[in-house]
Amino acid sequence: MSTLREKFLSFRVYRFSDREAYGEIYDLFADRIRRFLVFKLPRSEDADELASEVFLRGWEYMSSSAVNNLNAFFFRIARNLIADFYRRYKPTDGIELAEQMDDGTSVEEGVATKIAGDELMEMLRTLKDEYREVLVMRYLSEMEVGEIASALEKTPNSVRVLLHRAKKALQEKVDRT
Amino acid sequence: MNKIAAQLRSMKDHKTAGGFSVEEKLVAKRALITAIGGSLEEAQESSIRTNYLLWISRMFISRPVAIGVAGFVLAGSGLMTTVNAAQESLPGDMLYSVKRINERAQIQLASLDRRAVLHTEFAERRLREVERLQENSVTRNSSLVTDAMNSYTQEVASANQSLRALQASGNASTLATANEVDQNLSTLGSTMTGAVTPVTSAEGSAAVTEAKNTTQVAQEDVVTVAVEAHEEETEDVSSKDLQDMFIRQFGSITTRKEFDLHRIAVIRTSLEDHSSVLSSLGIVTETDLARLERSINIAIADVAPAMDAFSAGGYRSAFDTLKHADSVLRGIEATIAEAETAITDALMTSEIPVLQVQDMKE
Repeated sequence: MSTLREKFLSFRVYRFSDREAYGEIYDLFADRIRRFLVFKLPRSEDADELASEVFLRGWEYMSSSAVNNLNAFFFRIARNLIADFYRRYKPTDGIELAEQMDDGTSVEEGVATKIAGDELMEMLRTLKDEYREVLVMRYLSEMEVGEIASALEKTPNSVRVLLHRAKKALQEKVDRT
Repeated sequence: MNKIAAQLRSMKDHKTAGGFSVEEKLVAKRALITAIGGSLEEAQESSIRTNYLLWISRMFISRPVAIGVAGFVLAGSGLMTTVNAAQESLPGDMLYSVKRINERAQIQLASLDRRAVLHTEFAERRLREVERLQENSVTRNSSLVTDAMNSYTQEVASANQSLRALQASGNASTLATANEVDQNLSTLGSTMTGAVTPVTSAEGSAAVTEAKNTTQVAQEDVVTVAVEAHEEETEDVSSKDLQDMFIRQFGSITTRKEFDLHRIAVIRTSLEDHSSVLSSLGIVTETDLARLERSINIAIADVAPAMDAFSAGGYRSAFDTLKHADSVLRGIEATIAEAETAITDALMTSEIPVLQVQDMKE
């Protein structure tokens, strides 16, 4: 369910095509949508591109139709765009990996960062899709269980079960290293 | 496992965790707002916080109080008293919700041929509300004016939709209803020019423009419906309604001719009386004014054959001729209005006494 403020912003966008209100909606959802995309797509540039597309499509729809649950709405657009992305996607692994590494950080910095956090993030990336989704939403985007449930179109109970299993799976990977 | 959750939480600002930095988010937001046709600076200047408070107060104070009051009055005095009490309410008043609910109920209960007319009657109420809101210094520039203007536009658009629905149902009274709707829309068009004073906010001004455009489009659409309905009629009883519409539009165009020529005469007099101030500005020349007068006369001369065409049964071409003359006059009127504004501004900024400037405005 949307909060009162989200309902108001949604109403302003639908009724008055209010760009300021849409800007506030962007502030509320941009971060969680980008995180969701970053863990689904091969490169962060792809995530940025798709995040912009999510909010452009959101504007087109919301300025002509009423939306009740913004959380579910934006995640649904994001999932559809991810599906489109992979339909068109032609991997060029070696080149892409090299491009990803070449982001201006020094070798020393890279090593230090990896020790500090990359490893855990990499393990997270190797988890099953549904485990990764709930962990990213719950702990990185700090979403409530109810919000995750609406975003994934599941019940809160099944989200709790998924979270439990996902944490266990990640813990096992960490323990094995 | 709580340890893994804590570890993940501590990683949320890590660069590989997918979040935006403040700068990245601002850049992305700016790009988005530009892509949807706005600007971040413009967005930051507007008053969404005030609107939010107003919305909250309407949702959680005015509306529940209105319902409570309505319930109380209903219990004590019966339905009609409540409805009557709400009739004079304005947007923002406690009983305004009762008034709108009553209107929606009337629309729902009305037969198809009454709905379009009812929508135009409610549109007129919205205009009166705008007028009364603008009379009050507190509400003059508030979002309530914009809301009422938008409600007006919705009512006019709904009138159009209802008329189309009536036509699609093949109802025999389509033409008579179209005639009545056309009559109401003509009144609304002229009421709007007189009643609505310029709105200062960009949002309000956009709402007024939208309202004017919607009214014009609705009028054109009503004529189309009327002519189509007449063509489908096998009996000639419908000619009277169509004739009424034609005469009304014909009369409106010839009246506008006189009014526009008078406006040009006033501009000419002002240019002569204040030539010391205005001649150097080159706002409008005598040649321009003469050309405008000529264009008006040509447009009106073109209208004359419309009457013959109508008498001969060429309804479509007769209305098309009126429509063409109407659009020519609109163009001329826009030029006249620009000249009037420029002259008024020039006189205001010069040392001409205010009284004379007001004469010009009149």
